[in-house]
Amino acid sequence: MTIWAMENMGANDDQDQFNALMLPHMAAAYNLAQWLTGNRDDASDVVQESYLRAMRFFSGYRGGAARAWMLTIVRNTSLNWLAQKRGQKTVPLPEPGNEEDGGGVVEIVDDKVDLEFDLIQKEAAATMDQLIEALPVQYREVVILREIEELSYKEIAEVIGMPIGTVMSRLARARKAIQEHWNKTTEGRALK
Amino acid sequence: MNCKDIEQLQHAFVDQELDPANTRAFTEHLAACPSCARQLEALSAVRHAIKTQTTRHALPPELSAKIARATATDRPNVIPLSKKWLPLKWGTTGAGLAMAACVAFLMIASPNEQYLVEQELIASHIRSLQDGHLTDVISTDQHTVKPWFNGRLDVSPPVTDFNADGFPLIGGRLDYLDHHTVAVIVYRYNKHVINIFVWPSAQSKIDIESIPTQQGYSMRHWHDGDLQFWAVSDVNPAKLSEFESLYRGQKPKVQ
Repeated sequence: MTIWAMENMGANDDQDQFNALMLPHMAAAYNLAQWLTGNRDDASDVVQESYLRAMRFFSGYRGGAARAWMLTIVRNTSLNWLAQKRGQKTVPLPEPGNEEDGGGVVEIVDDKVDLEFDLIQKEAAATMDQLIEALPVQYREVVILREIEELSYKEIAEVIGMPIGTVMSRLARARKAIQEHWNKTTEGRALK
Repeated sequence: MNCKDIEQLQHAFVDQELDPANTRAFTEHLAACPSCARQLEALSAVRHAIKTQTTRHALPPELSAKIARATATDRPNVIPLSKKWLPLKWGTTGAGLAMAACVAFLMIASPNEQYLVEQELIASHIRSLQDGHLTDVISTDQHTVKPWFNGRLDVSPPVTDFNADGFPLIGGRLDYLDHHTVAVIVYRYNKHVINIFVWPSAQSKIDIESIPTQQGYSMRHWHDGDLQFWAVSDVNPAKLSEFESLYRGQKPKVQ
């Protein structure tokens, strides 16, 4: 036991460090994956794949927020998965700067989605979960990262590979859309 | 700052991302403008609704165990009879083969119950690493942690701070393992968490004094008086051994 411990000190220390830094974020990783993929089985596959990828790319981790780093990989893996599964109109873009950051990124081309239209399709008495599910994925991810995982704008910008200004405008649009519909829902409840 | 600015900046404001100068201007405008104040109130309300009404999808425990196994697979210790053993001088001799056979036999013959306890310990260790699950009582003071267990358990585990030796005490918590409520004392070594699980010994079903590793986690197991101890961590086994000797320097007692 001590013999292999000495022989493999270097490799194990890396693995130790990876485990200590990244395993604690498994719950956040899973929550994000299920919000993006929409179901338990796919989320499980995505999280598992993300951790394998993360291990491979760990040498490219240069410190900083471990959670944001891990969630970047989960997010990219989720979007790749969505693209494959739904055959959406997507264009793979190379990772800006560092390819080790977690593989190819998929950016949804059509950024001018009509949020209100998406939301108003739903019944008036929607739950918050239904409203968030109805958001296009590029808005949904920003809401989950900000309101549930409580990442800063800068961290969200890193995770989604977009400027902070884009984070702000997506967050504002998503909140506004949710707000309008949520008010309608709560008013509806109050009348009953 | 006018009402249009407020509408644009209110998100940054509620997210505490606004710089001090703009924050001041923002609050000044707000104090003088009931319409903007109402708008901000509505935004805060919807944020509150999102935060409180949105489902947090719970990590399936089997997935967490699976990943813990996967992140440990490239470690030599999970390949019990690999070539790693051969550098031992007797690797090529008959004695070496005999030893290998014994080791193999021991591994196959190791009791199932022990395996289950180890699985539970590792699951508990991994759970403890997730945000907010590490400690119920956070204190680096042994005189706070030790009394905390009193009244919660029928054992009084030894609690000493080994900060001077590089193993600072972090705190304690209760866990449920092997059909017992157990005391867990939490230490840290650099970035690594060391969990010490303590519960009364039954007549010892598990009589191996130490278990090298499981799924890449180092484990130590020992009995002392009427208590049994399990140490679980992702530090290397040599370090955990060192910690064990340090920890065993004192005598536990049952109340």
